[in-house]
Amino acid sequence: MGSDNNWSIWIFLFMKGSVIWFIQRYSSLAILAYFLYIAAYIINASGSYYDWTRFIASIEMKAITSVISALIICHAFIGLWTVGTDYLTQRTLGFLNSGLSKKAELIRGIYLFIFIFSGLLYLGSILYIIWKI
Amino acid sequence: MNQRPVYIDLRKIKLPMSAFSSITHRLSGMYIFFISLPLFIYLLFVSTKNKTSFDLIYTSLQSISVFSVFVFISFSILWYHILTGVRHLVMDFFHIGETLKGAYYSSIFVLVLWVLTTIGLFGYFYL
Repeated sequence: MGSDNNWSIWIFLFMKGSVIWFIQRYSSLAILAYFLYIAAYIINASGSYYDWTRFIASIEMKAITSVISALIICHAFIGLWTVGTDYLTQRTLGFLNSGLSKKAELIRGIYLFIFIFSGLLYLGSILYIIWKI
Repeated sequence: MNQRPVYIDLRKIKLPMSAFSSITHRLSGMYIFFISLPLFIYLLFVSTKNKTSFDLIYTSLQSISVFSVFVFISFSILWYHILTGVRHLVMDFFHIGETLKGAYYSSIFVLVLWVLTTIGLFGYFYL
């Protein structure tokens, strides 16, 4: 792949492509089950603050939400990383502007930094909110 | 490697239906990560903070307002991502709908299903 195969790939280097592929597919099933469970609760919800916090702050829901949040971040990192290596490359940015294409690695690096930073921030916030209740 | 840029001018390329489904799955994924997720975390924070803020957010989400519709749109984009994602899973795991025709019809099916359910849910929540 030449220069398009840059340093930002190191994050997933220790994993085989097939492992990444399976993590993304199977995590999506767990996340889907979680959202359906939450949706089923909300549809039947009483609209009472006490019922809602008793549900979301139970030790089981705290544990499940923590695991699912980590899975959501993994799922999102793989997806966002795929999108970055597909579209933010020298070749694909070149059609917009040749100057941009020379900075492709830098742009992809910034993009990578932004989504990893946001993802960890999300995960930290969710864990903080959930375990504080 | 060939250093020449690839021609991917999306305004000029006419996407087949299956490509439309795939690219909107990716776009909705970007939207969810950068907009829906922070919003959901905010909603989780406000709804669990105390009874006053829970009641405030509960009543504000039940009437049509800019914020309420923004929340609805964010959830419906997550719903779209789920539907197109399930379509991809069906292709990946069961090899159903991998033909040109199959991918075309499943894309149409998913899009129609999403539009109908979103309209239905909008009516259910607001009307």
